[in-house]
Order: sequence, then C-alpha cells, then structure tokens
Amino acid sequence: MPYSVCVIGLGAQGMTQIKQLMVNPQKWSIVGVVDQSKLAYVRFQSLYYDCRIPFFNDIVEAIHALDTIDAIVISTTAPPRVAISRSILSTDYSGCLLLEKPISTSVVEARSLREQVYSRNMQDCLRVDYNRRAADFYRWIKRTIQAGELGSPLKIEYNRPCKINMKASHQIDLVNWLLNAQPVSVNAQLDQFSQVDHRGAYFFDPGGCVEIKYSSGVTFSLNTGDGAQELVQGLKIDCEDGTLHVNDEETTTVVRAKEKERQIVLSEGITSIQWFEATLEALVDDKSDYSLCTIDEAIICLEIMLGAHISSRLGGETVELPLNGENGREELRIA
Amino acid sequence: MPNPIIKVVKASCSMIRRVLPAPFGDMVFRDAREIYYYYKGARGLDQTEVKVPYWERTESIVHPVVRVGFVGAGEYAQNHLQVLSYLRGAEITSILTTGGPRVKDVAAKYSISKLYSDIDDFLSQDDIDCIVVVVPARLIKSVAMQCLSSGKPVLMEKPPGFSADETSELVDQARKYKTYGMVSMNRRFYSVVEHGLAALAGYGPLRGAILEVPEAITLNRQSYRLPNIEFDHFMFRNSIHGIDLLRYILGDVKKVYSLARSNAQYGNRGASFAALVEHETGALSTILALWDTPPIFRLRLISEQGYLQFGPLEQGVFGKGKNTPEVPIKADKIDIKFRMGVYAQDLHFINAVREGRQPSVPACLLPDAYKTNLLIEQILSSSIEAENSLKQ
Repeated sequence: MPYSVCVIGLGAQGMTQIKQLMVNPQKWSIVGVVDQSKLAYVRFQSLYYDCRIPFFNDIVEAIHALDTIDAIVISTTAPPRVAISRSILSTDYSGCLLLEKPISTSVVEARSLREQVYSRNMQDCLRVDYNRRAADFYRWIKRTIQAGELGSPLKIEYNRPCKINMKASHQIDLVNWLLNAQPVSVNAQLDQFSQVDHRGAYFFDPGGCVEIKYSSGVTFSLNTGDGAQELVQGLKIDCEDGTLHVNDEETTTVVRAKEKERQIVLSEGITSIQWFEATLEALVDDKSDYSLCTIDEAIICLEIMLGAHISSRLGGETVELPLNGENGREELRIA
Repeated sequence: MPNPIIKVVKASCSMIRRVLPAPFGDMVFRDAREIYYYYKGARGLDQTEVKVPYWERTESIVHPVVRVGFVGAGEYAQNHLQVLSYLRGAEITSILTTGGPRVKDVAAKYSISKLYSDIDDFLSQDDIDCIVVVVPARLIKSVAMQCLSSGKPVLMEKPPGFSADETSELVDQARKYKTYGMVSMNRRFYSVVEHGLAALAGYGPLRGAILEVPEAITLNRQSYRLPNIEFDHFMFRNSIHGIDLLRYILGDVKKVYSLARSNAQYGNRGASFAALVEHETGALSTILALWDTPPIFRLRLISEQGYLQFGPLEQGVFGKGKNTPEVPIKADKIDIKFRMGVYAQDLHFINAVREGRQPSVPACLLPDAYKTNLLIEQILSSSIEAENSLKQ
C-alpha cells in the first residue's frame, strides 16, 4: 500500500517534490495538494489535470475531506510555515509532518510551535527537511567521524558562492549533526546585496562569511560570498589524523589519512530531491537508524542564521547562542 | 543589431559596481552569471521562447449520472442547457419556467421529460440531485432562496442579489437547509485565464493588477431591454464578473480606498468610479469604472517578471518585458464549442454533486460571492470622502 501524502505549497520546491514522489507510485500516493495561490492551482492543473488530484485552499479543509493522510509535507515559503503547522496540530491529525527548512523566519514563532508540538506529543512525528542527513553519502561520513578513524574534528570549512539560507543552511545543519555539539557563538559579514530570484525581490538572502564556534572547540567557517570563488570549493573537515573533503556538487569525497588518499564516489547521479524522498521515507517508516532533523535542531539552525544576520549588521560582532532577549525577537526576511 | 563588445573586468566583492550609461562601454560585473542576466534583461537579447501552458478539460467520471432540475429557458439559459445535455454524467430531468411558449421547444431540444410552471411542485421532486437556476438577474435571489430550501445543491447565475446583505440571506438559507449554493462566476473557469495564469506562475510573485470595467449605461438604459432595477444595480449585474475575477486571483480584500461619482439622480450618466485595493496577500490593485466611455474591458495582471493582459477577457497575451514579444494565449477547444467557461464550471459543479462534497477552487460559493458583493459596495461607497467627512 503506498503512503498517502498531502503537499502544501505548490511553488518550485513543492512541484519538484510532487514530481519526485509521482515517479514511484508503489511507494507514494499524492492524495491532495494545498495552496492559497490561484496561479499555483492552475499551474498544477496544467501538469496534473488528468490525475484528478483534489486541490484545497486550506490544509484543515483537506484534512477533513480526505480519508487518510500518512504524511503532510509543508513546502510553502518560510513565513507561513509555523502558522500552517499550528493549524494542522489544532486538528486531530496524527500522521507525520515534514517541514521544509528553515522552520520559520522567527525564533519566537519557532519556539512557540515547539511548545505546541510537545504538548500534543507529536515531537516524534515532526521533522524538518535538512535532507543531507538521509543521504547515504553523508551518513557514511558521520559513521567515519564517529568511529574516530581520522581522530576528532578540529576545523571545518565550507566554500561556495551561494545564499546562506537557501543553500548554506544545509551545511550548517549537516555540521551540527556531524559534530553533535552545541554552537555557542556566531560572527558574520554578509554581502550587502542578495540576488533577486523567483521567490521575489522582497526576500533578502545574501551570501557572505560566517564563523560558528562550537562547545567542543571546533570552528566552522563558511565562505559563501563572491570571494569564495577563489577558494577550493566544497566542505572540508580537518581532523587530528586526516581530512575529509566533499566537492561542491556533493558527489565525491576525498579522504586523506596517514599520508594515504582515497577518493570515494558515493552519490553520482543522486540529486537532493532524492534525499528529500529518503527523508520522507525514513520519517513515515520510522527508521530508527536515521537521525532526521528534529524541531529542536531546526531551531538551533535558525538561531545560527539569525545570529549571522545580527552579527553582520553590528559589523561582525560576536553573537552568543542560543539567542536571547532582543536578539531572539529578530525576524529574517527569507523565503 | 550587432552584439556589443564588452570589456569585462573581474572584480572582487569589495569593488563598487559601476554601470556606464552608454549602451557600449566598460562595464564591471562580479561574475559570469551577472553578465548573462544583464544581457538577457537589459539589452533585449532575451530570445527565450515562452510557452503558455495548454490543457483540455474533459469529463472522466460519468456514473452515477447526476439528475438536474433546471430553472429558466431564456437566451442565456441555452448556454447551460447545451453544456449539461452534452455532459454524459448529467441529465436534465425537469425544467421549471413561467410557462411561456418557448419552454416546449427547449424541452424537446434537450430531451427534458418533465415540465413545471409551479415552483413548489418542482421543488417537491425527490428524483433530482441538484438545481441550476438561470433566470433574469432581478429574480435570481428570490428563486435561489426557494431552491435552497429543498436542501439540494444549487448552481445559480450571477448576481446572487443586488447587495451584500441579499447575498448574506442566501448564505444563511444554504446553511439553514444544510446545502450550498455555487454562483456562476464563469470567468474563473475561462481557459484563457487559466492558461495565462499557469504561465505567469513561473515568473515571480503576483504584485498587482489594473482593471478597467467601463459600462455603456446610457445606451443600455435607452434600449429598454431590462427593467430599471437591473440598470440601477448595473455594477452588481454586469461589472461583477471582472471585479470577482480580480478578487479571486489577487486574494481577499484588506482595505479599499474609493471615489465614486455615481450620478444616480441622472440615471448614472457619465458615472465614474475608482478604487485602490489592498489585498490580504500584499498585492495592490486599481479598479477603474468610467461609464459611458468606450466599452473596452481590460485586465492587466503584473508579476515581478511577467504580466498578463486581457482585453476583452476572452483574448489574452502573456509578456515578459518591452523587448520580448507578447505571446497570445490559446483557449481550450471546449471554450470555443460552448460559451467560454461554462463547460468547465458546470462540469465542476456536477462532479461535486456526484461526490457529495462542496465544489472546491475555482468555484465561487455563496460566502465567497458575498465578499465580491461587499467589494462592489465598497467601490460604490466613495470611502475616501466618507473618511474625510468623518474627520471633519
């Protein structure tokens, strides 16, 4: 029996996810889609009219109308994600919930959602789609680090011109997960301008330089501004006895240990949308050997990004984590 | 035009970007991607072919057949009768009219077996699944109120009353009898509109719209083709389609700033209405109704990277910028065979009746229609003057 899935948000990401899930009808059945936009509605019809998939303006309406939903995927832009999650939690829905990242644009909102999730005892059903965690490629790297083959991590670097929230945040969560350590502070110098894309001119998501310090003493440096072009691209993890380097296409990792080097091609031809599907599968199948991003971990990642924006605005000043007081009330203008 | 020669100087991120005003000259770009976007956008070399989506509306499920009780037999009713008799999953089993001479021809043409001239007899049938009401505008509300009392779903022509209050009565009636009413806002179902919107969906957020809805009110009054009550409520009767479509696409209204010169004491001769609307989505729209001017309807929808322009609504183009040719939008064949939008709309209604659920988007149910009538009232109310007089 395929899992029944309802997707909320039919922008580029939502449509890509639907397309991926429809490749495998034995595993997934799209039982409904939700979007408030009439443009999204007709674009969906232009591609899937003959599939006769029920379309709703509102998830609560969908939950009441549909017989079974095993998983709801929230792929809207970031601002409404918490409100939509809260409306789902206000119903008797008890299936899985996978939110796109980031969980919110506001730490205050995200924390309030966390309270509601715990009060409904749904913390094991809700995950955030930092999907590198479900990639075999990165799970191998995690096991390698955990096994201590290369010693403890000392320093991590990520170089690639890209937007902090859209792309680099995956690396931030990835490193949080690989290190299994608490971030304690962040410094940043972000670009003044952010390229306008299909999400709209209002959204501001620049690249730049970000440095995150962890409780274990490790420093993670991200170079995602224009200057990153001059550097060796990708993710580099320096450990006591060796290094791991993942290329920027995330297809190959080079492991250097004790003057020996080996290159491992682990995910050629695999795209990130397949990692999304693996994340959803791990969630609905309740796979215990997967460590998907929880709401608590997603809030940590959001705090790092917010902290980076605050630090950049203050000329690179160190911002302590977790965010408190005025810093905790900031909001991001990201999609 | 020959390709311009550009000298590219690679810049570090600390350099300030300079763009010289001359079309050719030294330009500083941060990376190759910027050069690409600059050329594509600013210098009109965007030759990307725009594909406007096209799909055909079809009937997939036909059983069980939905039995329709039809009210009306006039000129516009033919549009619905043609579609409903064409649908394999629907059957018009009875018709209610005022008993005029046309009804026998209509019944014969569409193979309708039962003819009624008494509404109570018509509504007492237990072998119809739904009712379709296509009567003159001034009668829709009263007839629909009675039909809703049958507890059956009702598809009614517009307008659902000549005021928001009248629509509200219909909403309450539907709720009281545990049924629903769908209003025939068939512009929402126009294939040219849907195809155009589907194209626009890939071009950034929808930021706003400009709607021009002129009406030839004086010529219309002079024709005596309708009773005065319909002319006196002409915006509800006629302009409602464009106004509803605007609200449907851009979202519910947050605030309206309006100026109205109705000239009601002169039969609306030379009436002018203008409204600036803020939508809940953040979009802004302008509605301009200059009556007794050339009756050219125009709707322009503007996204960050593209636009749609309809004028009239049955003909639309999609555009991206001044250096990109506009692409005409093709209508579904079914919208050429039947009155535009009626096939898709009536099919949507029949499917919902068959499945025992309320019709979803793009259908206009009565609570939704209430909001459109409310917007019309706000346009007519001259809100800016009302606010100013309050301040004084």
